[in-house]
Amino acid sequence: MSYVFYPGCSLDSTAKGYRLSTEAVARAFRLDLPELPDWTCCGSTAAHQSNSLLSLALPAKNLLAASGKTMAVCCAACYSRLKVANHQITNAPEARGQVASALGADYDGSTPVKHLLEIIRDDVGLDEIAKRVTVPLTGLRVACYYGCLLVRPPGVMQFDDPENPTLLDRVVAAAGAEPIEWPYKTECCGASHSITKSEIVERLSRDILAMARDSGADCIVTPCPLCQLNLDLRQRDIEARFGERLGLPILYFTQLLGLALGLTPKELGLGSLIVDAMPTLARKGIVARPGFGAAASVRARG
Amino acid sequence: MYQDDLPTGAVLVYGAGIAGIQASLDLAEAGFKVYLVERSAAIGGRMSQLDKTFPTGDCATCILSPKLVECGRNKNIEIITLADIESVSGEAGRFEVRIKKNPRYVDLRKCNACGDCAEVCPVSLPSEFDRGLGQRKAIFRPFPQAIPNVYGISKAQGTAPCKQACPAEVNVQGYVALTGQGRFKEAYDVIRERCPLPAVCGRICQHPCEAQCNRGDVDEPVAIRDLKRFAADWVYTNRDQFAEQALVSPPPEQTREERVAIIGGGPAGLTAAHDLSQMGYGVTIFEAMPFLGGMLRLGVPEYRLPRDVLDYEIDQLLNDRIEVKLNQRIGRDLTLDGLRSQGYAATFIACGAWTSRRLNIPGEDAKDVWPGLGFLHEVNPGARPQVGPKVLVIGGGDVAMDVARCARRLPGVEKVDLACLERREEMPAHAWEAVEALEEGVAFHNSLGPTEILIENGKVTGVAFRACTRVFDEAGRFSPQFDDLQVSSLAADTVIVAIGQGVDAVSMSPVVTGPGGRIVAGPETLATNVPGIFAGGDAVLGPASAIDAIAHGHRAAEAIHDYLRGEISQPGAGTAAETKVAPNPNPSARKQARTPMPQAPVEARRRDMREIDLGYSEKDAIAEARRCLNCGLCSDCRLCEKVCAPGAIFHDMQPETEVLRVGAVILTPGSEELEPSIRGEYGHGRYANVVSSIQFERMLSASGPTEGKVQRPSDGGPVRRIAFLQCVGSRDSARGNGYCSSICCMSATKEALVAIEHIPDAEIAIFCIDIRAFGKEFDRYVGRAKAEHGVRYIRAVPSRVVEMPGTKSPRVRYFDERGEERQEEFDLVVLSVGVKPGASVAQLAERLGTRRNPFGFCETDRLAPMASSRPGVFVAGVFQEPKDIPESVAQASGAAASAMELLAGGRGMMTRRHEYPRERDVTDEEPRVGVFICHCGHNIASVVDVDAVKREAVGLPNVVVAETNLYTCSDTTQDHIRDIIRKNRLNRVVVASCSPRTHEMLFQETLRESGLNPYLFSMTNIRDQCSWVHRDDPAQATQKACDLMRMAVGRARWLRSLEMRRAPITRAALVLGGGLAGMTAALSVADQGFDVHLVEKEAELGGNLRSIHYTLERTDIQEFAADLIGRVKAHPRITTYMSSQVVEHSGHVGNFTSEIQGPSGAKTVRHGVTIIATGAVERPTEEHLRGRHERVSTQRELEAQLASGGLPPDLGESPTIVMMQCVGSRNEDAPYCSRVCCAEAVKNALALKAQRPQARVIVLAKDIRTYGFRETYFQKAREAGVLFIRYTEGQEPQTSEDQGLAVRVTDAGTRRELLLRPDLLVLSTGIAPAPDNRALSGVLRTSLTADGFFLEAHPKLRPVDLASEGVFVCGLAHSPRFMDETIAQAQAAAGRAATILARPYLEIGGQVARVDPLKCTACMTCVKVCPYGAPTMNGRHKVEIQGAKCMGCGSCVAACPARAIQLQHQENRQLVAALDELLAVPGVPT
Repeated sequence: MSYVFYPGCSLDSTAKGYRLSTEAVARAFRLDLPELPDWTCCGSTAAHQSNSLLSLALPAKNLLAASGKTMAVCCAACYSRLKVANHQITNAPEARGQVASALGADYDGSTPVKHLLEIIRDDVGLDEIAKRVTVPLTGLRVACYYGCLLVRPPGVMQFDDPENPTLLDRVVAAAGAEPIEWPYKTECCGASHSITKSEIVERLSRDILAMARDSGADCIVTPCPLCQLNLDLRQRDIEARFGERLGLPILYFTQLLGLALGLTPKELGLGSLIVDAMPTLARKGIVARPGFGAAASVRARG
Repeated sequence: MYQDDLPTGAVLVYGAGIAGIQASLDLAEAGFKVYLVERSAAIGGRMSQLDKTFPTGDCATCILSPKLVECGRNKNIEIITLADIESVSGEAGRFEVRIKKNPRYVDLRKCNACGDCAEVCPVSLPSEFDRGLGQRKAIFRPFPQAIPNVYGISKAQGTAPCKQACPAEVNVQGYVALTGQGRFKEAYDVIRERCPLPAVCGRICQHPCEAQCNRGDVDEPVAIRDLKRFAADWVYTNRDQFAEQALVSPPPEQTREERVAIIGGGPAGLTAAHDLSQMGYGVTIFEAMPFLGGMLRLGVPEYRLPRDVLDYEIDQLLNDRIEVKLNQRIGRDLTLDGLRSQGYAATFIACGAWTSRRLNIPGEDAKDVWPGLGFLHEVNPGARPQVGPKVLVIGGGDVAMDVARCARRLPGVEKVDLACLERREEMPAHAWEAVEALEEGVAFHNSLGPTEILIENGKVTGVAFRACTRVFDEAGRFSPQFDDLQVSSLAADTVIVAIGQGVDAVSMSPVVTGPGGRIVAGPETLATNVPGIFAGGDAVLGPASAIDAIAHGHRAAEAIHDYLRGEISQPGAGTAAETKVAPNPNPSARKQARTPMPQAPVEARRRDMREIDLGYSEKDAIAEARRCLNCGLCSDCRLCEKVCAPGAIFHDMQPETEVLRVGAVILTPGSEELEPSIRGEYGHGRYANVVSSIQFERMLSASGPTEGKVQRPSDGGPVRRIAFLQCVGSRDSARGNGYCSSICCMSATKEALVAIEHIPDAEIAIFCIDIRAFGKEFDRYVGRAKAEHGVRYIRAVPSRVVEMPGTKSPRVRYFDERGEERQEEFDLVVLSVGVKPGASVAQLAERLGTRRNPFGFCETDRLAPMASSRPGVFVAGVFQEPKDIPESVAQASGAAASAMELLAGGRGMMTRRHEYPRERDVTDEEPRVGVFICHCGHNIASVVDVDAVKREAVGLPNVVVAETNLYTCSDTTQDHIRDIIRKNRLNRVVVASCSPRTHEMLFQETLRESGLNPYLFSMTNIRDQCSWVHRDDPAQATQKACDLMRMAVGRARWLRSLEMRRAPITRAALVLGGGLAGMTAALSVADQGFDVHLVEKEAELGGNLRSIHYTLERTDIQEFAADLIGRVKAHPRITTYMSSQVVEHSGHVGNFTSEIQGPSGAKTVRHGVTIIATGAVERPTEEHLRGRHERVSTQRELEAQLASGGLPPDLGESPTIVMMQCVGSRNEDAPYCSRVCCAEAVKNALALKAQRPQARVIVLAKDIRTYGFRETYFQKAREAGVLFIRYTEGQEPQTSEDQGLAVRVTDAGTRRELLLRPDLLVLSTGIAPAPDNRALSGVLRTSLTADGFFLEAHPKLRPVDLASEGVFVCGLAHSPRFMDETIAQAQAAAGRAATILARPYLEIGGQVARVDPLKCTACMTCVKVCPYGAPTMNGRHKVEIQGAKCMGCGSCVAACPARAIQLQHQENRQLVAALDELLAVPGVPT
């Protein structure tokens, strides 16, 4: 299948590590993900709350530009907006007409949208991941956190079981880590209130972090940059506010996958995480203990 | 005998839940033949799974079981289980129904349900009956009270993949299952049936079975081979425990003269020799080598197969019919022709594949270059060939691995390299072999093609290679390509070439050979071109596996056997049908890693040839075997067949079809529960402590998987806090169904109350939208749950259940009544799953041509609720609409009545009555007692010494015969008992066996058939009372059995023949009430051919029906009413009595006399039954300014208004209309729900919105109880803009007159007080019992409920019967209900009435009470205590008991102060005699 890659603004700004690791992993798997030229915002910002036409026209503009290729997406919010736009435009003729007049071109809602997880599942295959692992993540207990945008609304997203998705768990298991059973895979982190009502966000994010910790996770991985940001960036504030230690690194799933493939922490942008993942990874023997230098930081297979 | 002009007097009832059972019983009792067709193995349906019933608290099984037994015993009900309808042709009155009967694999008539089969069955499967909470065996009985009370086997559609994959057809699932049970010897026996070398195969088999194992989809395949090895090793280690014969195959049944020669003593030859010797042939094995075993010995390294294991198994396999000649090579020592002349009638060539392929490169013939097999032939018998320190193996297959690993173990070898053409992942060797070789230090060099063996000074120094760029072409064929420019070399001083083997069968001429020197033989028969000569194994296949060789050995033996008997084998015959592979029965099985095979440490392995794999421990083996998913369900091990004493098991049963001729079909297929996972956020299936309501029901049941203990499935821990989550899949059009399942609110309440009985300190919360307790006595029940037991009803739909880490306690998140988010932890969460039509029912409806409604239920009309869209096909129970047990039972009786109306002319045409021989008069005979003591298989005899009981019986006075029987109840024993009675002129029979409840009638029947009065029989239960309860104390159990037997004999001596009287029946019904219920009942009874006296107190017919103008579904109710009244008036069999009342009612069932007081005086009528259909009234009220304000009306008035001219125009286009529910009901004065008012309000609200779309319609209610499909109208009303405001109990709305009408109400959701100013206030005042019910109940001597409605005999199973036999109730006189429910009940009453009116006579049982007039003092005590009204005072001032009313309970006997009453068959002297025997008082009079 041939793709165009839609990075979205998060991957261009707050989620640089996601972008780096996505590109590194794509290279490792020989996935060709050329960036969509001249892409614009997907509308997941204030747009979709304030103006319904904008919320469709913005993603439609990008989808139209994909011109027949499949849109590859990493950001769960972008994924959501793009799929919702396709759904609305396909199912509501009046919406299609409005979008057409806004864009000056008719878009029929037919550009396929795939999340990187789906691309890895379909084009790489979980068996292939297992074969390509050079640094098995043995003993690393991972809480797979999907967030809400990837799976909901289920009728539109059709991503996985909306209540108990397992795709990320299977990818993580293929990489040799141990995905834990925990009940908050799709719990809301409060990202939509991230700016306006941070005390709500902190409470919601705290519940997720505490549940992961209590379920025995060493770290959380997520495919959503908004979730990652909330759980990672706010973790210190949360610890201070609730007076408890959490200390959970929040990795993009591509970072974890990259480690298993033998890519270096630097290539994967691990350095930009707020909660340092290196001590945990070192404790599990996935990277060398700090101080041994980058060259020796990846455990070679015995 | 069929008559052309009459309908067929038989009915097919499809689905044997409580509805189907009730319909069948009614029909059979009323003179119709019934075929009760059930898809599952037993009748009983959903009710059999329930623990208790609401609101009565009865044990569901206890009240259902007698119905099951009754159904099983009725001679006119043919129960056909495991069957389905294929097609229905013909028309109403004359259908032909084709049914398909699936095999049970157990003969219904032979099985005695002793359970020995299930005891030995090794296969445990999740129990469907317990919804996966418990386990059952592959041969099973769904529940202990099952009818038919027999076992059955579940087999998958297809063979288990492991068994299918085994070339030798070893029953893999069978031995794995037995191993899992710790029954290793039996497992070994199963293996040995098809594999004569279990320990060998258990070590070296390539296990194609594991590749196909379905467990592989879940995690990893079951370690089948390792389990096989374990079973064999275990048996050999413990061989002292077994007789010698137990380890070898039994000698043949017959010996045969022909002798067979076998060439080659490898696995193929040995297997063929074994099989042929078992068939009775003499066999000679000619082996070229000095030992047997072939490639097993020379090809397989010792570290994989120790020699002692091989030697021992070969020894076990040989016997005195097998002669072994070693060192005999064809072509050298003997010829094929020579064998024939020596008298061998057939020959099997299994000479193997022994030539090593060559590289054909320079230097290959040097001294230190070994062919792979040649090397192994040196090493494996124990020699230690001289090889240099650096060994290079060429080849990438299994033999190369063997060679390399053997070389690695030789003394002096320092380094072993292995070079092959293939890339690492392409190497043909098994992955585990390669891994083990690597572990042992063999170095692999991939993608190398050897070009020359380098030699210096005559000694090998190494091998030169070029790069191999490709081994296989695109089509996967071997077609190597090389790059001559990339060259390399490896140093070595010994080279071993292991690149494959070939066959050299030139010496076998004239047998034709083909490619690669292999012998050409037919794939099925293994016959060569020479008649009488067969060939198999590697000689035919080329180098293959041991299991393929064994398979060929079997096949050759069978082919030779056929050949020698002159039969030509049919290739493939009989196997084609078995090619279907069973699917994975449990793809979502919990993951459990394969048990690793313990291995010797790598260091130890490099040093010597000792075995690497160490074998499983018993614990390992059992754990590993239990990973098996039992894909075939039954494993076909056939152990059940072996232990079944009556010989009832037939594994080869096939499906059958049968065509039944019936006049009508009644559909009662019931429902399925919705998938609890439909609400994924509640985590069913993901969280262990979230169960479905039916699972919880099983958990509560004493016969359930936890024996009634409520425990957390996660850890078996205690449960205290339970949450019920209602409406899972119901009232949820987005994910589930838009309708209400009607039963869940009450069943959750019941489960809560039962749970509290089990756990006194339980804390229970029921999360619900509404509490729909709309049935008779339901609101009281909920009230008790709240007030007495503290059950919390929380009005919330929880958003999520989360399993807490560590504790695994489910936490429920919801918004509480104050609107605040709460998270509450529970020990257990129960999901109240709704009901839906079964998956198979859709196809059934298709085949029947009956329409289904949008939800998939049977489509019916509210005014003809039991009629499907196809005439002659009726429906009842949940398949019509979700409903509870009494409504299902009533509908079933109603559907039966519908069929009886249709088939009235065929009544009695297909039923049969038993004719008995003339009864012998035994009055003057001395007692001659026969005692029959039952073994009940092992059930009794394994604990009670039945022979001791017999010996004791033999010594008793009057006992003429005493014997024991394996199964006293079996058909053959009945013949035998009849025989003994005749021969010995017995006049009393005693059976000591099981429960009289199930079996007494059977034996009494046998007595009647022998010309004895059935009351000359005495039965005692030495199973339940002795062997079951005193299992641990056989001596005392036996003593007790002796005591019980003696008591029975003592009583038997005094038993008398009792006369069963017959009374005539008056074939007419008295129907009281001319409303919808009365008219419907009257018409149904009359249409069935009986006369009806219909009494109506008003001057015209119609009753409440006259004030109903439209329903939610229809607008033509008044036309319907007019038509109904017309039909009643016109019916020739109905006499109407208008403006009349019954003032006197006497007599008993079958013969009542009533006095009807009418305008023109009194009239006396005689009738066999009475039907009460006197209706109820709209509750009068003065609340809410009713009667004082002109804008306050009732729903009924509003309906009349809307139906006639619509709302008054002065209300304007957008009036505010407030409807107020529960006015005057569900309060202390009338603590019951009127059931219809919510739907009535919705109905009128919708009508209002239709007439005035701008109207604001507001409904104030505590709950909205639009159950069943009416829920969809509730939704429509909300969509139409009708506003529903909920208020809470105790905060009822207040109405005042304050600038017009003012209604104040506090909204329960927001807790805000609202002030409404309605232009019209409509009160839902509900239904009140008719004021004259009390007087009427006095006349009829029946009881009323506390609310003033008529009290039925049993709220669940006898909903329209009253306690006095022959009196029935229906319609509003029973309880508030809708028109469709009234029609169902009315027809039910008519159907029940027919079961009496259709009898030729009334049979009055022998066990009735009798009054001695000389002793009677007329104190009337008996009249007061009798629950049935049987004793009456006669003209001579003495009490007489009406036999027709007496139920034989004995209450009057116990109560009579003058001891004037005796209960026949339980007379004092009979009971005293029994007690005397117990206390062993000598000198008992005889």
